Amino acid sequence: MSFLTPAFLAGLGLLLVPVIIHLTQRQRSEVTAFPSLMFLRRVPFKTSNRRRIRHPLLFALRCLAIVLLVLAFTRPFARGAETNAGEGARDVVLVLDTSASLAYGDRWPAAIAAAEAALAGLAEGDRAALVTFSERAEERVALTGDLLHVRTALDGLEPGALGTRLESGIQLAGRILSESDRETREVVLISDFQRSGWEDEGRVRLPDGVTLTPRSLADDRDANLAVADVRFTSGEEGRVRLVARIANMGGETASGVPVSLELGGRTIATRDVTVEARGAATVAFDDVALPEGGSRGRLALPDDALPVDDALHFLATPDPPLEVLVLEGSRGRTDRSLYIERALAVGESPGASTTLRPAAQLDPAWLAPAGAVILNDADLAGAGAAGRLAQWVEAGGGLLIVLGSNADPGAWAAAGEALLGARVGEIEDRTSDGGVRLAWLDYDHPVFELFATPRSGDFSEARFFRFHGVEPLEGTRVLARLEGGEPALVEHAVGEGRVLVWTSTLDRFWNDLALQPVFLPFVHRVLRHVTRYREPERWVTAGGVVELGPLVTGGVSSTVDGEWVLVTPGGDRRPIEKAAEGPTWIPLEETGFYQIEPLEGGGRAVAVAVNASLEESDLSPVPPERVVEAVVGAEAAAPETESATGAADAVAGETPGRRELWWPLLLLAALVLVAESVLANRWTRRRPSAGLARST
Amino acid sequence: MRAKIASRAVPGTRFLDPVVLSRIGNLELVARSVVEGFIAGLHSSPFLGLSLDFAAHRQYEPGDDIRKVDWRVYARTDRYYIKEYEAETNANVFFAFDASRSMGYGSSGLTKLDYGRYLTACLAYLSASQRDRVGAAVLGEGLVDYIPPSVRHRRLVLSALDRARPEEAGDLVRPLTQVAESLRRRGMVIVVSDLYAEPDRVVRALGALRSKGQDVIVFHLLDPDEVEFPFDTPRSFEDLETGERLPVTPEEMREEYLELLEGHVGELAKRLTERRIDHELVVTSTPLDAVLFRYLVHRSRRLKAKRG
Repeated sequence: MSFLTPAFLAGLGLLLVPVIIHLTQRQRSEVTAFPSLMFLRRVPFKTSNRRRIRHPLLFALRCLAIVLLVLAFTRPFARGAETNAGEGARDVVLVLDTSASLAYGDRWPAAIAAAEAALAGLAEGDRAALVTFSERAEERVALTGDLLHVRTALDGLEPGALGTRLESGIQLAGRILSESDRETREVVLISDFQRSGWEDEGRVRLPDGVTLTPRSLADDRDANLAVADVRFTSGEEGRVRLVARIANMGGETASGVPVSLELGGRTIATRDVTVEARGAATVAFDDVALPEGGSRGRLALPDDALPVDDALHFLATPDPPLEVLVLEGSRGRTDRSLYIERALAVGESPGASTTLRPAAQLDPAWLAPAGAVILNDADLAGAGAAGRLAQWVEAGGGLLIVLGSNADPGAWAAAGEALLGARVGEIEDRTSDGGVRLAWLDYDHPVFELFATPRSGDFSEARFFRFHGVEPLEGTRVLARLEGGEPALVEHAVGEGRVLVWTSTLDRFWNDLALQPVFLPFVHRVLRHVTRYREPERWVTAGGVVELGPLVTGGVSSTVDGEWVLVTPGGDRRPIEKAAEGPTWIPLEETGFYQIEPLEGGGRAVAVAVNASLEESDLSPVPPERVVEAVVGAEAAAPETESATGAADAVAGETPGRRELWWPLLLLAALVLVAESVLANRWTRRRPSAGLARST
Repeated sequence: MRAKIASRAVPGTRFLDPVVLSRIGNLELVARSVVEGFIAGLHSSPFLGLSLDFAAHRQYEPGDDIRKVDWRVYARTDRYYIKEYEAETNANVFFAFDASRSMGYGSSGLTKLDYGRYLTACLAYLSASQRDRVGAAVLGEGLVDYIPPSVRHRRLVLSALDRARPEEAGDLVRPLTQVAESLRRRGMVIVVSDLYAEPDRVVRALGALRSKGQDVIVFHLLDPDEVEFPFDTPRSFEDLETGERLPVTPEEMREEYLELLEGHVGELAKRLTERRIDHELVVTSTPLDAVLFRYLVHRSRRLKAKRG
């Protein structure tokens, strides 16, 4: 007989409960006032009675009921002799975890030993298969009777840098065994059962009759430090400030841990940091000068039991500021761009460098370095200016048009309607009404989604006294409307670029939006959207992929010419096979720096930093029983023996020759409890009082 | 043993639940309700012995109180006749009411003190309506309250009963001795107590009254909990008189307790009877009129004994 959940055997400790109740309940008794103790005091007081069990049979029945209940909860399971005879025809799939966390301490040798032990338990005629899994599962050896082949495959394995997905390994093993016609089919799951690697959603089920035998490698040790993140902040004179976040996954505080910053393979600085148990701390490296063109950076901790997360690799490239060209109208005020400039001067992601130019003298050379153009209350001097802007936008530029008093509807109609995506009307003056407010915002749009949640910014406070009536053309999307339904912000695409039109000014003369708290984030969101800004990706998590085209062309194109080679962190060179259609994706599974370089020169080599998933650093396990029950179902689960690490075994469905014993035990416990109740009632019923009471 | 519990059904009487009476609140009203209802129920009863019942006329003799002359008979016959009644008149009825802390116990919302209060009030009302002189003493460690006997002291007696609180330790000997010394005229002394004292002390205390020629009746009050001891689970019992606590396993001690209580009551009854003191054990669940009935039986017996 074996147990599905032997941990419940600890419940036998409940046997102490009746005894403790017997001993303590009497002593911690309630106080009852009574007229006089003169008779009670005379009753011979037998101290031993308090500790003597008056009804040993009742006590025994209660203990027996507890024992039976506990045994029932351990889910005992008896294997019949018939099954033992048929064990020679087993199919066993070894599912071996090769995620990064298996490199922790001596878990990997333990995993291999567990696999060897499982193989050693197979009899002649049994077949075995080997599946490894991390984020994906892979069938290393198909079902075979040649166990030596499986052992050889084991020798060549080692943990990788990827995360854990227990479901993937179980699913593949189930698929393999679903094609087996053997009566006894078993999955031996060897893993550290990381909690982060198990999504208990009941999506994975083993076929009926398949046994799942977990071999947990988890233990009480969880000390582990990891470099979790690094952030860049722009400093003075092109220097940056690096802030690294160090996470302590263990239960003890780590004091004075040295954190080293390496750039280009050279250690720049080392800082000590103290990290609370199961907490995180930051350590800053100020005034770091990044080399022109960037460098390979590495933040390193001293090696601990899990080295894979002791270093964070990243590309130390300065984040160039976004060049914003503000084209102003020639007539009227000279400070109309003041609020735009001030707003763009704040913020680092992206940082903006603003240049003011007169729109009337638009020079194509100005557009070349510009990441974004703001046409701020400017009249179109002529079709040429509009055409140049349109060309620039079509090539991927981002344009924000701010209509104001200089915007001439006639000029826009003649030269820039296609660029504008709307027909500009006359100026609407709502001063006499006290202004109108923004009545509707498209919170699903990236510009406004930041403000979607309550108390995330109130646009309704701003009053608009003047604005241009605008009639959107086909293909133009209205992102915000005023109270009268007039568009306040519209967007349309021109080629690969985007154009946004704001129908009022971005200062405090036609409206007071610039005085509202939402003005600054609004301008930033508009700029990020119109320029399709994305924060530079300084590293990729192992198991992720990168697209070849944008990587080697600097984001310009998704197509790439020529042959390219991938150099892995380990130094292997292998040609990149380009996809026949669509983008070419490169999987990255090792930690460190990958290099992608042209096969025959002529292009620039690019580097990609890869780090292990931070989830692998958290070693807290999920109970194997939970995995077993989820995979085979609680009702169908039944216990089996042999669990080297205390894990439980289970089988899906009823297997011939195996008998579950929990329900007879529960039945027996119920009978015992009934007998106990009857006897207790009979023996402890209040006896009729004699003498005086009887006479009443 | 002579452990009589005055709870037997009596033909012609109605039984009033003491707990129900306790809701009335006004002690005089309680007493009046019980007594008048009780007397009304006695019409068919053989116990007509109230003091106002006319017995016979006899001729006036020198020395008789002229207030007893029946002037109506004189008007008709021109002779002096004296009116005689069945019972003795203007007797002293004195109530010694135990207000010790142990009397504060009650298992069903009605304490022994309350029950004793109602019982004493009823008896006082009954006695006063017979034109007896009524007085009372509330007993604690000493005399807590004392109302000398008088035909006009019914309200004072009821008031003293109303004021009684179970706040002092009980000691029957000293206050009863004081009562015995204070009563100059012979009469009836009714003691209402739970008698939690050694029988020697109880007999000594009551003997002091008896030795002064008083006719003594003891109503020995016990709560149902005291005579049944219905407790099951282990607990500590706290003595209401002393505050002492004693951990007890009731199931194991019930038999011994009941035997000891029975022995105590039995010995009290025996020794008091030997001294011609009537002992009535009353469990506080007993209807009050049933106890009144017992009282009348007692009085009737005493009167017959005296006449005989």
